Amino acid sequence: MMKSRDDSEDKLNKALEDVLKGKSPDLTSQDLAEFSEELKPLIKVAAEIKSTCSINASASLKLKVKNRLSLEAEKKKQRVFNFGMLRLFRWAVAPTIIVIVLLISFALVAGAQYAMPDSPFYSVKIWSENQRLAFTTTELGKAELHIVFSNRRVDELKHIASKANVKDIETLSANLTGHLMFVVNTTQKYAAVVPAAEKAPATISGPHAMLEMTPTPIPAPTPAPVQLSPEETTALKRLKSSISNSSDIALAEVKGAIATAPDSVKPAIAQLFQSAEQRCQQALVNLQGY
Amino acid sequence: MQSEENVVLRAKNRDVEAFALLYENHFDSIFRYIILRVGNHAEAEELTQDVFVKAFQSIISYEWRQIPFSSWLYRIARNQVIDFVRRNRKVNTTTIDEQISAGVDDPVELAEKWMKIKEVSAAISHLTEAQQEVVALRFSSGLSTAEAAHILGKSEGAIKALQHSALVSMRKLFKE
Repeated sequence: MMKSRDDSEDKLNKALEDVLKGKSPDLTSQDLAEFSEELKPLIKVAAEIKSTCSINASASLKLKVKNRLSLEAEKKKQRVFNFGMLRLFRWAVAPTIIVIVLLISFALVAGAQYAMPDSPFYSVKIWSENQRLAFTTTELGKAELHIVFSNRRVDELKHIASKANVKDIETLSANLTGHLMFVVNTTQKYAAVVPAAEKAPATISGPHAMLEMTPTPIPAPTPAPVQLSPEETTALKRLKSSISNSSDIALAEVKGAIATAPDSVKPAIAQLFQSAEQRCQQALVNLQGY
Repeated sequence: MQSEENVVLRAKNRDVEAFALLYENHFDSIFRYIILRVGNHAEAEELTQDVFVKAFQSIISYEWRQIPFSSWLYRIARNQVIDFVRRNRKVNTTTIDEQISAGVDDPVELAEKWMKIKEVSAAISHLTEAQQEVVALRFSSGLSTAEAAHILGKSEGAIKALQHSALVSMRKLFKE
């Protein structure tokens, strides 16, 4: 029964293949053998469907589709033009973004170097200074940087002194004191290695003459002696020179700022001057043996 | 004479002429498949257009696997028809349109042709989904059993059985 059905389907299929190839249904029916009666009408139905559906799409439809495909092709070309290169270099997108972010960061930090305390970028300036300090490994190197930053604070003071903002001046003063305290503490460590006999009396010439007038007694450093390397000695000499040169100019500028500042901020600037002068003097005394 | 594989590879590389060749070779048979499935020439035109536009857009992702390109086109066409049937449960009645070329110039003959197509399409709509697919692919598009089997993801034996049962049903429907 099952075999008979399969045979019938096979015979029908073979006859249909012939009909689809264009053979007449009557001719194909000759090979149907015992299935002829059952399959003949089915082949006729198939032939009728084939004949009914033997239609072609109109020329106008074909033209319409061709035009639509041409439009699509144009669109594709444009898309390839717009995005093809991007897709080609998609591996470069992440590094490019990183480079752009880094460039923007560098530009921001570089631009912030000239920011004043009333600028929104001032915090970037302070942050970048802290980064420079963090990446400086030696104490003496850090101390030199603090001197550089102290000079910046004095420049900033000159800028904001005329604006009569006591709060900004107090902030600046605190920052400046921080820088100078670091220098004093560092120099104090090295003052200990200088033998007492080699110490000459503290004579500070030039604009520091005013420092000599300061009656504040400076305690002599007493810790145990330490052997210094030639590099450290050179760095200490450089630091001393840096403090000496910078403090001359900076203190003069602070004095000038006091003269031009409004009365409301004069006391704050005067206090800053006094504190800075005292710390510079102390650092120089610490380094007098070099 | 270029092999179909060669033409398909060129079309994949955005060679419009190669795609035009594929289009020329398969347009009518796809149109015939769709017209029998939807029974509405306007929709059949739209769907045939959509099939080729879709094929053009996604031919870049087509992988040649020693299978006739037409199988891929029929799959797109089949999906388009399924979507269409889902959207339009009630298929519009066929209208006679002089723009359709049925290989006849006489308007009366053309009208009769379309009436017949409408009848066959209406009769086919009473078959099961699988039977409808087989009838459209085999007798309207003229595909072989093997091609129809590949497109529908069935065995050749299943296609033979389906076409047999479909023709039996169609005979009954035509008698009525």
